[in-house]
Amino acid sequence: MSRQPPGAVEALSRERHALCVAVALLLCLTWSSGCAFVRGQVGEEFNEQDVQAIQKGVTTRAEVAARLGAPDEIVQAAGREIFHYRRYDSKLGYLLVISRLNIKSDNLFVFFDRNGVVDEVVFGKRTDRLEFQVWPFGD
Amino acid sequence: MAIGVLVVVLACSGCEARRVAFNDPIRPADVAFIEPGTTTLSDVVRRLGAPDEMMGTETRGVARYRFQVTKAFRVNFGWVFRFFSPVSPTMALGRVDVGTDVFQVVFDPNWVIQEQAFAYGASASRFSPWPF
Repeated sequence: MSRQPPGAVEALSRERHALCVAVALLLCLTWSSGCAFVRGQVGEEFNEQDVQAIQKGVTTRAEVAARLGAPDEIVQAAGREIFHYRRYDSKLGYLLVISRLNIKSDNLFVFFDRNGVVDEVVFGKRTDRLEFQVWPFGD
Repeated sequence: MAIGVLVVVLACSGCEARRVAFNDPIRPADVAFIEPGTTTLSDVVRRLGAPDEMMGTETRGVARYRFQVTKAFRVNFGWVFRFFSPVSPTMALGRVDVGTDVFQVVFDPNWVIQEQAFAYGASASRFSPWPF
């Protein structure tokens, strides 16, 4: 019988272990649905310069529409007309059998007085805090 | 270890868990600063960001914030057929729950908050494969 050099048995064991891990990973990839990272957006990103250019008591309804385009929605509240512009951004993380889709919205509300002049501007941006996440459980 | 990984993956591969979250939840502690009759809409927007929708009447306005979560869980018992059959039929139990939290403030024509209200519905959404 030939004798193995010192350490040969351990090396063989390590190789066998690595081979088992490789086979297991290959089977996982073969049988599972893989992974994906997908992004989707609805609407164009707000240009902050355009928003800052809207001045209370100065800018008119026509000027707002010329700069930002037609609003997504026009509503009435507290005796004022409101232009509502909105945008959505989403990020999907998908790994094997779990996934998480996060959606956030940006909203711009421009309030007009009875003369059609800007009375208030409310702008909020949430999409800059949007993250790719995969784990669906918990908060 | 490799066998352990394989067993876990095989055990889990017939299951799917999906979550869709729209915006961040607003907790009561986040809106504790609001004092009806004193706080203005600008104060609220500064702390919570812009609302998701506005509505109202000639004398009042309503700003609404929404958080919505959808949780879907599915177990496909037909998944095991793929090991010994060219066809793996779908034999699944699953459930999709949607829950929505709404926080709203009512303001007068001077932008002063008059009322606030919470509607909690997000907890109705949970992961469960049992549809019956």
